[in-house]
Amino acid sequence: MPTRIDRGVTRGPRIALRFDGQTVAAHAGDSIAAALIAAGIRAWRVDRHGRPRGLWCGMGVCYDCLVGVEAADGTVRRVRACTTPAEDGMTLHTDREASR
Amino acid sequence: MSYDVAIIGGGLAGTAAAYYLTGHGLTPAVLEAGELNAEASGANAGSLHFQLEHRLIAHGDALAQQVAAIIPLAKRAMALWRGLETELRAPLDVVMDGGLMLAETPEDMARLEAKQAVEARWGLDTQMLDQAQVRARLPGVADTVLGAAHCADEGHANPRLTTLAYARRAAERGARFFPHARVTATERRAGAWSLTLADGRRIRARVLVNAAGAWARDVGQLANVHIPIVPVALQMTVTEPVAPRLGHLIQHAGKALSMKQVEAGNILVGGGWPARLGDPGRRPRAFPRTIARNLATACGVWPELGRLALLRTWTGTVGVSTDQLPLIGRLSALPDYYVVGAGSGFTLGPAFAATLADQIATGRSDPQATVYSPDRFAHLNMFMGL
Amino acid sequence: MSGDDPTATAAPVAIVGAGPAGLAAAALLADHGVRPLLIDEAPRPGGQILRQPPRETTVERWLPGPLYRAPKAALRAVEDRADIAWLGGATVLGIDPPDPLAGRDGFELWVDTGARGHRLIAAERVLLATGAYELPVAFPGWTLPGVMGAGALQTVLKSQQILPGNRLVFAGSHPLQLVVADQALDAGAEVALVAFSQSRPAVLAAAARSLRHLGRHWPKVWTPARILARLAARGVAVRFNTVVAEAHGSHSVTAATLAGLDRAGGRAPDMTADRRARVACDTLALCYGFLAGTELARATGAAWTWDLDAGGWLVAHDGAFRSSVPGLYAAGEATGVDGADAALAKGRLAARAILADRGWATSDSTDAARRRDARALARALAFARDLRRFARPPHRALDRITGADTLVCRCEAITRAGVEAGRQPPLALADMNAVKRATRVGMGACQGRLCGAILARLARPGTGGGQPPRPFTARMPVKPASIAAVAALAEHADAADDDRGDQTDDG
Repeated sequence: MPTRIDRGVTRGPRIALRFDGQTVAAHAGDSIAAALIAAGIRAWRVDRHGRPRGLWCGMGVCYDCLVGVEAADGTVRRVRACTTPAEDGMTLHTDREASR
Repeated sequence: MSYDVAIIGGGLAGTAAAYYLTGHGLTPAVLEAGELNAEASGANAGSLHFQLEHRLIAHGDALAQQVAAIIPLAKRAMALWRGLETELRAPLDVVMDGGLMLAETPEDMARLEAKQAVEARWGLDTQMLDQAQVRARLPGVADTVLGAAHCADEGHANPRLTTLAYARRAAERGARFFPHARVTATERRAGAWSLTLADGRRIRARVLVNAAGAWARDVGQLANVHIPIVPVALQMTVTEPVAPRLGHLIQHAGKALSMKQVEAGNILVGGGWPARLGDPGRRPRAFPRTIARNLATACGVWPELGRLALLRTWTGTVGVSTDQLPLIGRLSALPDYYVVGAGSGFTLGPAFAATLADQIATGRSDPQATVYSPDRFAHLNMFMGL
Repeated sequence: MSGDDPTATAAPVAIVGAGPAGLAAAALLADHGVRPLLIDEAPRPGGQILRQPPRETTVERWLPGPLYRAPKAALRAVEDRADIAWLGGATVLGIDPPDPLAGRDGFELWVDTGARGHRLIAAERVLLATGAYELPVAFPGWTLPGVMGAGALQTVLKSQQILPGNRLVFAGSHPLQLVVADQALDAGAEVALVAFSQSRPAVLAAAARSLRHLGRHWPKVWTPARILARLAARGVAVRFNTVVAEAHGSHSVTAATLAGLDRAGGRAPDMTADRRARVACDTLALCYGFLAGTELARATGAAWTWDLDAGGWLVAHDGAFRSSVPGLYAAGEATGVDGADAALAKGRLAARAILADRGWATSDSTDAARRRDARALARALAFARDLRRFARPPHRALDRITGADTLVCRCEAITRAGVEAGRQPPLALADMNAVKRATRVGMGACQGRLCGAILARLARPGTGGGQPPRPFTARMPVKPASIAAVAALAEHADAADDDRGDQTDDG
């Protein structure tokens, strides 16, 4: 299981996200990938052949960590989880390539 | 090495010509300076568009009448595309579910109506749609779209696969392919063409076909003839793949635009937007203003495109003839020298190639083909001492 | 640094990338009264080596140790000054070189600033300090969540202060994996195994050889030795002559298979059928080297060179870090993955070239300083060359672990068999771009950053040498972008063109 490092680390205020209907506790300043990983979620994309995908490069190069972010109007935009900051109240969905 | 026909250029026109020539019992060799399908044949956006294009109808009725002579070729291409996956035993992602040419102004509508009259005269079936009919066919279309011309046979195919499928089948039927074989000389020797390759190899053939696309002019100069085909650099864009939502090929009556959703789910947007011709040997460069205007034009008629991500752009160099019509046929200034190419070379490519192969095999040309004859530029070669 | 001015549309010098090279260049330009605009994808400067925690997070002992001293000093020297403009969280999607036909003398940068939209920024000169990313290695299971670059693991650790798993396996040829393993141990992880492809004698020989760098580069010589000792003390298995072969798991990685290497007869190390071991883990971190980030430079028309072990395709440059495009400079890892010390020196040299070329500083006043920077670079490169020789990945074995069914292109899900299908006559596709067109390999969202180097290696098994492979053609936008934002740029461009009173580029 993943671990948040606590010793010597002071984080931003607590925030909460929704991922596929489940509540994910996080901190302001977390990237979406960090928030999901810290909550024990490792896969948030399913490729066209049904294979799970998650974090690979961690620096915005590989686009393997795309995740769906739902906007107020219900539309879903795909962003890189590793470079996009998590925001309080954000609604996230597993990105399924076959049904995009 | 001796062949019936030497074809310079491994794009769609040259490769498909090789295929159809083998059908006439001839043995062709295809000489390609780089890789097969590397230039416009593989880099175009794959539209199968049969309505007279924006660029052709935008400059007045007289030119439109002239270019309408392309329609018989378009009809042959339609028939070939419908059967091509079966004929070549390969998936080519051919979809012919119809195309819409959109109008946003009364002028656009008038232009489409005039266009439709020309097309009807030449036997191309298109219908005018009103705003409600367009909305039914293109959900999410902008309110600014007043109507459209619809052609049921339009659609798209995969340019990345088509030339390669022709090459595989042509090779099975005896055609020879020489990639990475730059031709440095084309000479007449002992009643045949003798081609010298950059590595020194020689190829003999009774007939020579210049199918070098944007480089046809350079290849022509090896035989001391002018081929008035000029290179034009174009840029295209592609979105991320999404679920099917765009069933038609989309064009515009008054603006440079083409848009379609391909098999893999990506939406390709282009329509004749310029890139910058680079240094020789280098791909043309895209530039930000053109990419932005191309996408703004597309979003203008179909706003939901804006919600998607632009994945990539790419560029290609296409050969365009000086009168925008194709060149297909024999050049009477030289013995057994044929030219094929220029103008809507993907959509019409199979028809170009089949028409050329018929001419080479029979020595006769269809009376309608005189419109495309390269001899219409014979005056240019008066100055070449021919 | 002065923060983002949303109306800023021009700068004398734009620096793309705020890692060591970009930071060093920015400071030096500002010292000479030239106010550069420093642009980076990350919200805070530092580059990958100093990927900073978010502003909301404070870390008491952030990246302690001597390895980080020089880059941290460069970061501090830049962060506090107001005469450097900063644009963070911004991706440069493309650079249009000077266009005399359109009456434009300078460069135009197409910048995606995320929620703040896209904009065009004019710059007289541009310095590309676009860094590097991890060399991908394709093997069965490498797309499973939990399999990642050692650098990615380190980024989550040092920036987000999160340990992404608690039983880690490292496999690679680069000593960076020791640094990350050490940091993971500090964070409380269990390290199940660290596998090096090198033989133990090779490691000992390299360690002995590195002693000659002790005087000038002691932290880089001492740190691996210290960590190896610590791993031994903690009972962490360190295996040599071993390469990753497979990752197992259905939803995420649960185990890794490592394979022994055979170097019989002095041949290049190859896989052996025996000596395969399966190790349970929840994270598999790979560390076989780095690739230079040259897409932006190549899309701008800059010439490249090829050296797989120095970072693949590199931006070609002269001794002053001028690229082949006049006015465009490149520094840092994009010109060769040589480490942070070299990047700092390269950044300073590039900045000096900009000053001299533009007449912002006389060459007399900077000659001595330039020589000093050149000496610093030479010292850094001497170490980098030895490190590169040591860290050279086992190419033949890495070819072998890519099975016919292994995905080569993660984005488009294209297998090795898929990309090799067109190699036979009559098609005989050799060029990477021809293979791309025929198979879709490299057509996905990463634009071939990952599969490009894999393809280059598969084309010529076992080597990094020979005829340089022509890379996938890079074009703007060098990363995906929101279409609505791109389309909105059209109005911006129209307005700018109207201001200039000409319109030359439309068709």
